[in-house]
Amino acid sequence: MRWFRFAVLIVVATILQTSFLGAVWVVSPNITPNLLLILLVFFAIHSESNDAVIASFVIGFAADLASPAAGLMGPRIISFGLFGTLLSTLQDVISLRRLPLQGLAIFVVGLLTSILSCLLAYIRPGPVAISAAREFFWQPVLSAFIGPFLSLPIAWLMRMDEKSRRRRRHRPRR
Amino acid sequence: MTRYGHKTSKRMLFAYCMLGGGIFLFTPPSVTGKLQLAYARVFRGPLETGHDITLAGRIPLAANTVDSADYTRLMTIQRRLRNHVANLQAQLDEAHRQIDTLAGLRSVPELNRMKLQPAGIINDPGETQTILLVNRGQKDGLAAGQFVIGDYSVIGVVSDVSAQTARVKLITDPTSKLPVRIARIEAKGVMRGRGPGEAVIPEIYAKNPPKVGDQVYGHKTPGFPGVPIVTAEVVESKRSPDNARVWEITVRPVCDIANLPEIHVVIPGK
Repeated sequence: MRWFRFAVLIVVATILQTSFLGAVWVVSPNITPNLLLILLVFFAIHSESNDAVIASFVIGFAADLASPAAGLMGPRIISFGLFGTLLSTLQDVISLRRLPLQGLAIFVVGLLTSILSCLLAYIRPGPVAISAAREFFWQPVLSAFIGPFLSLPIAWLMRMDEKSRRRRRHRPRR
Repeated sequence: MTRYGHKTSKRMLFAYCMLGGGIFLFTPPSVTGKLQLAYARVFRGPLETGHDITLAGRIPLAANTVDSADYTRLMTIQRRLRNHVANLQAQLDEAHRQIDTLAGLRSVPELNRMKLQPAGIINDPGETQTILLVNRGQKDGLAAGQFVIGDYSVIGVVSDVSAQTARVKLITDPTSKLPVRIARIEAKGVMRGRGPGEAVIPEIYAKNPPKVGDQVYGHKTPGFPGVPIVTAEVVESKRSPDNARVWEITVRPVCDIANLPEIHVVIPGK
C-alpha cells in the first residue's frame, strides 16, 4: 500500500465531502454520494488484509472528523472499521472486483454503516439530528451508482490496477 | 543476515483499532469537538472555496424563467427585506408599548450597542444540517452563547469556539432551546430544535389560535439584543387535547440557511 498517496487521497476526499459535493447533486441538493464510503469499499476490496483494516479505520476517522454533528466522534470509526474489515475478509472468499458487485457492496456497506453509526450516536447523551431517508437510502444508492466508475481512476492513482500489479510481479528481484 | 520482524495479526490490529474507536466514542464532546474544529481551521481555505462553489452551483435551482443570477439576487433581497420589515414592525410595536407604559422614556435601539461580527460559512450547511462552521473565532471576539444572525433573523447560537473557527448550533438543532414570542397572539414559549429545517414550540399558552405564517421572535435572554428579532414562522399548530388554550406549534426558520453567503455574530458591549 502506498500510504502517502492514501493519506493525500483521504484528505482530498474529506474536503470534497465536507464542502464541494453540495454543488454536485442528482435528486436534491442535500443528497450527494459519500466519497469516503466509496473509498472504504475500494480499499477493503483491493488491499492486503492488514492494510484494509487500517485503511477502514482511518477512513472512518476522516468521516467522523468531517461530520457535522458537534463533537460526535467514534460512530463512523467503529462502523467503517467493522464493515471494512468484514468486507476485506469476505473478499478472501468471494471476489468482489466486478463493477456490479462493487456497486452492490457499496450499497450494503453504506446501509449497514449508517444504521450502526446512528445506533452508536444514540448511545451518547444528547439528541442527534438524522435524516433517515438520506442516510439510509439515498446516499448509499447514489454512492453505489457512482462508486464502481470511480474505482478505476482510484486504482490507477493508487497503482492498484492490473497493469501496475503485473508490472510489479514481473519486476526482477535484487 | 536474518531479519527478525514482528507482524501484528489481523485480529489484534482490528481489536486495537476498535479500542481506539471506542475511546473516541466515549471521549467528551468538548475534546472531540476541538479535533473537528482543528480540521476546519487547517483546511479553512479549501473549505471556504468549496462552500462558494456549492452556493454558485445551487443558483440555477432557484431560477426557472428569469436570469438565474438576477433571480437569486432579488430573492435574497426580498427575503432580507421581509425579515427586516418584520423586525421593524416588532420594534415599532415594542416602542409603542414602551411609550404607553413608560411615557417619556426614550427607547434606545439595542443593536447599536452591540457589535455585529461578519463570518463566512466554511462547511456546506445544506438543508439537512443543524450545525455551521464559521471562519471567525476567539481572536475575533466570538464566545460560546453569542447569538447568530443571518438575513436579519436569528438563526442560532455559537456553541464551540477555537482561535480561528467556531461552530454555530442552528435553531433547528435538537439540543437548541430559545425563548420566543409570537407577536400577533402575544404568546411566549421556548422553541426547541427538531432536526433539519424544523423547530417546535411545545405547550404555548395562547388565547387566540396561531396562524400559519405568524412571525416568531427571539425573546429577552442574556446576550440577546434588547429588541425583538424574527427567527421563525409558524407552519403548523395543534391544540392540546387537555387544554384548549395550550398549543403545540411547529415552526421553520425564516432564513434560507442553505444558501446563506455569510452570517453575523452578535457581540455584546461594543
